[in-house]
Amino acid sequence: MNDLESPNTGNDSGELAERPADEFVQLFTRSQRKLYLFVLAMNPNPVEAEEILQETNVVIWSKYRQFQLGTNFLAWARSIAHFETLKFRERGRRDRHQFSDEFVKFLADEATDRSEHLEERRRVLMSCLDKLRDRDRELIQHRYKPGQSGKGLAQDLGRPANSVYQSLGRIRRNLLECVNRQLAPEAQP
Amino acid sequence: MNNTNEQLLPLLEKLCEGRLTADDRHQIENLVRSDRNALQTYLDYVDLHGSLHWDTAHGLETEYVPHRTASTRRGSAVTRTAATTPRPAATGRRRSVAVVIAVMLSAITVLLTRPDAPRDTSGNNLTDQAPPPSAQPSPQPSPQTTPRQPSAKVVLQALNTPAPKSAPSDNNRPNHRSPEPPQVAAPDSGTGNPNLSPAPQPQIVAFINQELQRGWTANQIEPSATAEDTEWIRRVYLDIVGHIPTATQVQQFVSDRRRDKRSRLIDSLLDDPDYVRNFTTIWSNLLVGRSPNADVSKPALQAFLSDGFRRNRPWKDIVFDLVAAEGSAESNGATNFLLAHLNNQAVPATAITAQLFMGCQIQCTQCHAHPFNNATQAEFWGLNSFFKQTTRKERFKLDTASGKRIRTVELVSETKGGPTYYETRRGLMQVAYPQYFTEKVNAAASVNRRQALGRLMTSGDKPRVAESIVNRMWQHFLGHAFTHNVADMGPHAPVTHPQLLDRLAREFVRSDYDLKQLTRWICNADVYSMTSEFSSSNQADDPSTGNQPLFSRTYLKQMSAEQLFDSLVIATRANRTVDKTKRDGRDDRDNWIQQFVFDLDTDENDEFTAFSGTISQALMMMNGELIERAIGNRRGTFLQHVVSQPQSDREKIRMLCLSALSRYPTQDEQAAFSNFVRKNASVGGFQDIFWAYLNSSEFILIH
Repeated sequence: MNDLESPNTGNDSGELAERPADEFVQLFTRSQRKLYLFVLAMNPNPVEAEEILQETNVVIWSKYRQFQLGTNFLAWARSIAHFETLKFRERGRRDRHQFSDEFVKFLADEATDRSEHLEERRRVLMSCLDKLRDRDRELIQHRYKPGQSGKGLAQDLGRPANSVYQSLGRIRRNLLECVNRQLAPEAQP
Repeated sequence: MNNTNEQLLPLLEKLCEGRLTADDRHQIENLVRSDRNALQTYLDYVDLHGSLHWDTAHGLETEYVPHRTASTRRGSAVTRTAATTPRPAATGRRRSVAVVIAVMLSAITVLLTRPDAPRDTSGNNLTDQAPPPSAQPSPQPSPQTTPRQPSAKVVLQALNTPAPKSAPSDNNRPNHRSPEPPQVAAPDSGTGNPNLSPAPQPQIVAFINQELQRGWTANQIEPSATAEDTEWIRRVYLDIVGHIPTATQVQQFVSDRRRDKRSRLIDSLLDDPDYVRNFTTIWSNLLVGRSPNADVSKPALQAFLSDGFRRNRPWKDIVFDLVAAEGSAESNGATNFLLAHLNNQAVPATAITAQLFMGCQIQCTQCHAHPFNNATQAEFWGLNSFFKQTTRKERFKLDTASGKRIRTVELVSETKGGPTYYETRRGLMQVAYPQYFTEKVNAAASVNRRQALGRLMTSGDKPRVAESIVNRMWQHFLGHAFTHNVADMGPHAPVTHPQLLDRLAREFVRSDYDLKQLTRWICNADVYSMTSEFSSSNQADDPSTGNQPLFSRTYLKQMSAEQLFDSLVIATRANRTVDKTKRDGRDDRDNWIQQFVFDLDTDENDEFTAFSGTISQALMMMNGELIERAIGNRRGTFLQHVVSQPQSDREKIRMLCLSALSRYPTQDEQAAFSNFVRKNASVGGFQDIFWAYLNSSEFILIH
């Protein structure tokens, strides 16, 4: 996989004889978020999920010749992501508190089944964020700044960690319910 | 919420904050495996957690922009995905993705093009070779002393009406006079004759100054100081032509010594093709929204609007056409407004017509009497009844060239009469006949109801249409309307300066709904020349804290997505890095903007723009492909131009600041950045400085 290191960032001269089709690049780019969320369902740690996504990306990119345009890119990429998730766990350095392999497999299947519904939810989430009270929205935005955690946020705000956890839990629950509500009428025939 | 979920949710909250114990983890596993509900909750919750994490770390991904039909996708995907590709350097924790992304970026061939293709034909005003607008020689003396109105109109006015009682004798510093009693309604108020000319411009400007002054005096505040030329020119460009000035235009304006240069610039910007483009964009967004809609021909609507703004058609004629239009979406652009909103028994059409043109918020009266004003359900359906004859017809035409059948959509008024039926909250069926406030219209089949509505809306000496547009334009230029919500005027909504709104609306009607004239009145008033910063005594004048605006300064405004895009292009010349033959420019701006737009599936066809001041906007700015390209050291960009000039680092920094913020760097900035460049001598140092300027909140605000 390391053959990817050679084309370095400064290269935009256009001499790209060996490169995937534009369509592949599009599919790849557009799948990123879906893949990330798919990995996260199996390994619900956002930072680890990013690492897994990176490794998945490298594999996808190195195998682009194996992918046939016109077939289901996401399904192909998901299978790679699933495999990389299992591999990541095997490395053992993060053996604490892991879901069982069985459970991860179960989640992979279920997350795939629910993927379209989850897509819907992601779309609605934006409008729900907008409906939050300003204070709550700011809190959530602070919480999800790159590198931030609930604990760090509590320190930044000078508030007790538990109370910040509580607020975040409440806001996330509001968002969850808001999304449920917004989608409820559509679920019925 | 069922029982398992009540057990599961606290665990998921802990999970999100990384506080799970091994036991907790087992418990999640058990719950999720044993109960479908819990499984769904788990997936939904983790997905929510991840979406929040991903969106803030990467910016908004664009594939979630809903498309009403597949046909609107066209070739836009490439640009949109390209624009959202994360800029890895900014987050700093995705090095290996960075390599992949870098390869991808170089593979992506769609480049930015000029955002405005039509403009190519009319001049090169996106470039700074264009002569500064104020450079045109003009023998006209200062507008402070001479009316800009054609003199014939002034004479006519003098003959027909008594001189306005409020005519100030002191034109020079009218805003520092002692306040006068509110004696100044238009001289012919009540006579209902809108065919008179408006008062000369200096009189109206003085009236604005005087009315605002009364408010300041009553509240014991002093207005803010006059804005620096650099602050003012940026504001007037953004407000009138929709983008910032180039560095050269700023320099030329600052060095112009004529006393009336501001007034001259206002005039020349009103004649600029970008004035037409700016207001076309604004009204196109208001009328049909930014989302793609297969039943609407946005180009045709925009052509209709452009034509109106270019010829400065009376606003009432534009409104009449939009309300009364008939014909196909393509051949009569005005039809697209109603074509977009005829769904759902024309409820959106009713509500949006009322909001946009009449400044009333009546959609909630669809179902029940308004909680705050006197509007009733009957009034809503009375207005709705005007749209009853209207339908959308699809036709198929044979294209003789290709042999294909082409679908066209038409807006048609059928000749049918009768009432509209609706249900009250108690389930009683009611009927409504077309009625515009108190004016009833014959419900016979032979009467074209929308034409009747258009006439009713635009007649009289101060119709709501006039008040509403005056209020909107006031808000456009000064940052706040006379009412709290520009689309919600009425007896229940307090007006900050009732006499002023009243007079401006009447004068606007007398000017034959002249939008450019209205703009001149507002922009030549003292308040528009003031700085947005507080004076020593007007801190209380801060509407963002909920206080009523007193207009003792101009309020900050957020750039729209379109203004931001165009301004970035102006500041960076990103458009010059492109192969212009590849794509037409308009698509690029539209595609870029689509990233921020979401439809809300409401009865009013609302849409939601995740743009203004949101984190997705901020991230798009920091990481987006546009910025990437704009500050890259490519041939043709402003950065490349500045860096390659044989000039001092100090001067280079000055030019970068001027181009981004239309001002010169402060001493602190100059010191810090000079120092920075010494340490980072390469192009990269300037790149970082330019990036910082473009990403400052100063850039995205209109001061």
